[in-house]
Amino acid sequence: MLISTPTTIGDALVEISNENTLAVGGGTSIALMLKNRLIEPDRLVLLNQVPALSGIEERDAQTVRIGATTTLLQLMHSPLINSALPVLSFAASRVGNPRVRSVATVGGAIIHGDPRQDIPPVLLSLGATAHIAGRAGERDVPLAEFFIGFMESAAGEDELVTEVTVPKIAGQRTHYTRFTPGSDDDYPTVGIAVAMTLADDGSVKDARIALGGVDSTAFLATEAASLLIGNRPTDELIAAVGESAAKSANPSDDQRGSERYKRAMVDVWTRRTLAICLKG
Amino acid sequence: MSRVDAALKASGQSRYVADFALPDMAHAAVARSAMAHARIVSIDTRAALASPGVIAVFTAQDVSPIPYGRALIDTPLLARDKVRFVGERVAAVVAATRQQAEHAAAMVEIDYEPLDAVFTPSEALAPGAPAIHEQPWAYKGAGAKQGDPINLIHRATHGSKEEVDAALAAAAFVVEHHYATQGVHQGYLEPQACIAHFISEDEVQIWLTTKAPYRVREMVGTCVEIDPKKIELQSITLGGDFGGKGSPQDAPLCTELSRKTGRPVKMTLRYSEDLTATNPRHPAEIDLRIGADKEGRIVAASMVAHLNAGAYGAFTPNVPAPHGAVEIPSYRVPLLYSEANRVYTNTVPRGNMRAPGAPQGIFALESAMDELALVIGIEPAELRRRNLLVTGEADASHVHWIEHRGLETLEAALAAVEPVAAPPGWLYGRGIAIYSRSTTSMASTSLRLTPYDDGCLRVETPLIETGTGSHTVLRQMLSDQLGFATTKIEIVGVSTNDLPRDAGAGASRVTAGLAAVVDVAAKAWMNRARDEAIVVEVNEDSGVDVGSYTVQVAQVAVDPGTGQMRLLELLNAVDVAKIINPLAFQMQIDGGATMGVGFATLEDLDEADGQVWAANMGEYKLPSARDVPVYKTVKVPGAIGLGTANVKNIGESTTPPVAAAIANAVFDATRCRIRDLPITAEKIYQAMKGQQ
Amino acid sequence: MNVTMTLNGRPFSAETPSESLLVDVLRLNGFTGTKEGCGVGVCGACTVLVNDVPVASCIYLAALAEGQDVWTVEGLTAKDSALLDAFVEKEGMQCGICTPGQVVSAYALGIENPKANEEEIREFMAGNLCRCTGYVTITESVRTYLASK
Repeated sequence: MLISTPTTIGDALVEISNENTLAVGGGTSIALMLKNRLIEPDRLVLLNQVPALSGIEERDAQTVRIGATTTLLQLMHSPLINSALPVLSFAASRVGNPRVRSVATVGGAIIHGDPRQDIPPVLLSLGATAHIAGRAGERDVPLAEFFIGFMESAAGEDELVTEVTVPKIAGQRTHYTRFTPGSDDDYPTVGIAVAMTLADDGSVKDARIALGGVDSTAFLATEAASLLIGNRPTDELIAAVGESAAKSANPSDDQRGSERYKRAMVDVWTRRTLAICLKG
Repeated sequence: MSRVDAALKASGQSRYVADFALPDMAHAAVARSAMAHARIVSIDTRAALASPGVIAVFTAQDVSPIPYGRALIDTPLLARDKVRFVGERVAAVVAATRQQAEHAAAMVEIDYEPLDAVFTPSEALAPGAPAIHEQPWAYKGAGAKQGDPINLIHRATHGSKEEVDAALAAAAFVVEHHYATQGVHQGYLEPQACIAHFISEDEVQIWLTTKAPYRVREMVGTCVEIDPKKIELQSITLGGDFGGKGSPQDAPLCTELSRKTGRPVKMTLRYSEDLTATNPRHPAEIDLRIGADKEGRIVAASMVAHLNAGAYGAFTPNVPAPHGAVEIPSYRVPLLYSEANRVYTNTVPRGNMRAPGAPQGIFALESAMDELALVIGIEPAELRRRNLLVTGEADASHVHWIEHRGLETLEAALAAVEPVAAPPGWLYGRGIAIYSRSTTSMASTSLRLTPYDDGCLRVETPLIETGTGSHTVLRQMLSDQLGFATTKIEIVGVSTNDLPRDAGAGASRVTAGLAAVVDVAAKAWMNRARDEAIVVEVNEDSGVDVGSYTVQVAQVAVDPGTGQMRLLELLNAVDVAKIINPLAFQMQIDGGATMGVGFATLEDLDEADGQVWAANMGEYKLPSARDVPVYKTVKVPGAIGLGTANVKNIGESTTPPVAAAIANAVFDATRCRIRDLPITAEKIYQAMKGQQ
Repeated sequence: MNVTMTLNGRPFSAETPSESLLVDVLRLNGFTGTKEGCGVGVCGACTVLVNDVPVASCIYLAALAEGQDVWTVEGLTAKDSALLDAFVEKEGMQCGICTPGQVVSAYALGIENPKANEEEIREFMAGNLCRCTGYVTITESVRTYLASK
């Protein structure tokens, strides 16, 4: 197996176009797959020496840019993220354990399309966009269209996610709930991210509700969110939103809960997470 | 002064089996069965043999045909003719490196003809069930006879079922319930590992992750037909045992591989192999009936357990009834019927784990005590008060302990417990559970004491330090009895060639056993010729029973919206004699309780269709530092201990009652009774929904 | 491939298969203080420090360590005697197999949040499992170490 260590995005794209080649961010998923002989690549392309893939900054007054190889630890401690998108640093701080946060990257968290990850629902709720580069050119894919299916994303084999951009929205209320009723150190039974803004009259101007762990990918519960928009959030309305979110979920049975239980928990935690956002 | 090995362990200098390498050492890995029950049609080893670095590949026909085991000798080195569980060893690869051996093992092609499989005791005992072993009665040490149900390993009974049935029919109050516990693993963090170096028929050296080197030496020798005295087990620090490392593990196989290849052979398991193919705790199904008179005094009880022993019975504990999973150790039970069935199934073979049988049985018993109290209409503590044994009374197996201190321990626990506030909106509950465990020292160990010229003492012991602090305790006892400062005593673990005997760490009797040998050593030391080394040994075959009581109080909070349960505090009241090392003692209490918390709420091998689905630690969850509750300990001093050292057991005392204490607390909070483990949020949620 | 790094403050290089994991490179070169437990990055026994942050060496490609600053339990306890003293004094161990990982994580917490309170200590250390102790003495050891800073 060959190891390549490119230093520019262009070189990295050339390298990953080789046969049977994998790009490596933090490398933990790939290390596990190699260890279990699930993959036998001919070449690994390490992305940790490409400066253009790293960094967190304000792209403009409305947008935050997060490089794909940004680690969750960097998200946690970034002053910009903490002030502009605090839910993202909060979610990063809840993921796994310090060793995972040290190496796991934002790009890695989304590229695999793993439905149990915490970062995808949070980015979905924030209306983020993934920037994908290939030898044919670059394209932007809203995260809402990025997760295609179980462990499957919109980025092709010869493409890289180079960065994620997240809009800064004034007055946005956000929260992420990671429900782990067994061990705190486990994948969530359900993960629920909510981002919303309120109009001066107290009605909901905009809302996004994203769910993790309850379908083959993380997804936006658009129907549930649409119930809120333009309305004042009463208890009845919030109950209806919880019910709608639960209906949109398609969970499977596993050790973290049965299909029935997870669906019920989407209902409960959607309501509770909305209540936290509304309280401010 | 800290533990003898603290600095070595904290700086990474302590060496475990996996850390050793011998010159010219080769590495082994095994190909394991993918089928729960199947005839082996053919094994194609050609691709594996051609794989880089491979030295040789072995199947059953290449190694000793003699099975191995402890009481029951039924386990083959490699599967012969058929496989009986997913994960069974079928072929062994020896290669230059570990990675090469593992890579090649994955290339061994095994062709199977599937057979009907059974996964639970009820399936295995059903008429017409497929025979997992064709002639189970023919194995050495077999407990079943020809004509018994084909998959029954052993049925132990105690008392008269008819008498108990009659007494229960006449009792004022009766509860009758079924309880179930899941498969869980010892969860030691050091994977099993072995190095075997076959030098000649007269000299074999073994480095093994074991706590019982002398016993292992016998089992290895018998299996590979080498005089056990010619086999030397090295003394190596153990990275956790909890019952999981008393068997020979892969030592017989590695000895054969070394014999055949002429090289030292090392095999270290991947943790997924530990989880799926070693000897975890038996899942149990327990049917319990308890009857009481109008005053709430127990008149009779019937306790019937079906233990899933897996595909081989070699290391399932063969305790007689009414012990193990059907033990009622703390209460006055005038009429008791108990029955423990150990049953073969096409699942991973089971073995010992901390207080074998008791976590399952005490979960059922102490849950049922609360259920009985509810029916009678008295407080759970009051029911226990009326039925706890007092000094002078015999227990249900007719054994008289020196004393019974259950009542004092219960009152101490109740007096010490202080309510902890539940989070707003959560339900609060409190539950108690009691366990008592008897120990006889039955000391069997040896020591060599050698004085150094500089006034220091070298102490050689064959006892393996499993992590409990036994070497530190030994140093302290010797210091007390011989007058050497602890800083002047050096404790050295030595091999089976160096000293005559040691029974191995287990059964909560290490400290008591050490106390006995230290007594003998102290006398011999006084009478020794000047500056001479002395060797002493003890080998008792009987002893006095002392019992130690543990009363636990669990406080929980339950989120009524989700069923999520938080263990707010767990109080352990323990009845103690002399404590040699308070910190080591405390860690046994807290660590034992933590293992109970895992069993009660988190851990589950998630077995279905003969597969262990929780096959890695991402799925098999051990409690972490933030999953454990606040622990509170109340010591009830003044008990009579064993020997002049006046010590009692502790290592297995706090694990068994945890599950019932929590189940009882959850009931107190929610009025919902969970009778199968683990107690998950979902079970509580569904039970609460069902109640509405 | 050849991998070169700074290991415990000294230059280190080793020839190893390109798919090697850092834990294997360390252990095969005599740094056996780093243990492999679960092998899937969960238990924490294999924790080492790479550029001042803790990583699970059992799922960390050795190739990623090229040119990096790597510290193991041997190096950290030699460099910072308060770290070793805290675990010895408070007996933050029983069998000891998880201890090197606990020690390295304690050091990493000292870098990330030296003023950590009890809850923050438990949260940070939750990634290092221990089957023996029930965590009381380990938490106490970490607290003692942080207090020394």
